[in-house]
Amino acid sequence: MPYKESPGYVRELVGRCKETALRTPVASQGRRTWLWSIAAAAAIVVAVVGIALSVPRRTPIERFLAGITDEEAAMITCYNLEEIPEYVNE
Amino acid sequence: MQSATEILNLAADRYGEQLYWHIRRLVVSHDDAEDALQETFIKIFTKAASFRGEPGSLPAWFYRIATNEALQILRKRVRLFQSVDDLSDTLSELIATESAPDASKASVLFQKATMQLPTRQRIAFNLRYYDDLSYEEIARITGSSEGSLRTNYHYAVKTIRKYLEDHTI
Repeated sequence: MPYKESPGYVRELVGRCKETALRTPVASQGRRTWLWSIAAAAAIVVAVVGIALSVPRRTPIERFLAGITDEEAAMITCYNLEEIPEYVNE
Repeated sequence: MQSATEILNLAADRYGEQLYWHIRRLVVSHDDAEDALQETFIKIFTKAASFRGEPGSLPAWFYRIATNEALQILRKRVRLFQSVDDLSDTLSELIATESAPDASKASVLFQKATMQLPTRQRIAFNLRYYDDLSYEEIARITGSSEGSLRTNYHYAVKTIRKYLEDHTI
C-alpha cells in the first residue's frame, strides 16, 4: 500500500480505538435506561392529565367575557342577562 | 457465549489492522478510516450481545460492520443525485495526497486503478486480493452470491488490467 502510515502506527491506532470502544455503555445498561425513559414519560403524562383535570373549566360566556375589555362589555346589553327564557309557542 | 469484551478483543487484537486497511482501501483518507474503525469497534462492542451466529462467523461479522461504516463515510461525501460510485475521481486524487513521499509509482497507480471499479466490485476485489478471503467468506460479508462475486472479481481484474495498460508509459 502506498500510504504514509506505518504498521506500528496502525497497531497503536487500533489499540486506542479498542480502548475507546470499551468505555462505551453496552446494550444491557441501555435497557435499564430505556425502562427509566418509559417511567419518566408515564409520570409526565399523569402530571399533565392531572393538571388539565384540576383546572376549572370556564363556560363559553366566561371565555368570551375574559377576551373583551370592560368598555366593550359595558356596550353589550345582554351582559346583564343571567338566563335565557324558554321560547314559548303561543 | 463470549462476552462483549472478549469479542471486541478478538476483533481488535486479531483483526484490527486488517479491518483498518480494508476500510482505508475504500475511503482512502486516513482520518476517515480512523473514524470508521472507531465506529466499527463501538458497534461490535455494543451489538455483541445481539450476535446470533457461530463463533467461526465472527470475522465475517466484523468485516460486514467495517464495510458498512466505510460506506457510511463515502455516502457523506456524495452530493445530491450522486452515488458512491461517482466518487472515483475524488478518491483517485486523494490517493496522491495520502501517499508516502517515497511510495512506489506502481502501488499508487494500482490503487488508482481499483478506484475505477464500482463500489461493490471494489469491495469484492479488495477482500479477495488483499485479504485473501474465500468467495464463501466474502459472500457472508457482502450478502452477494458466490457466483456474482466470481463474476465481479473477473470484471474487476479486467478493468484494473486495462487501466494499468492505458496509464503505464
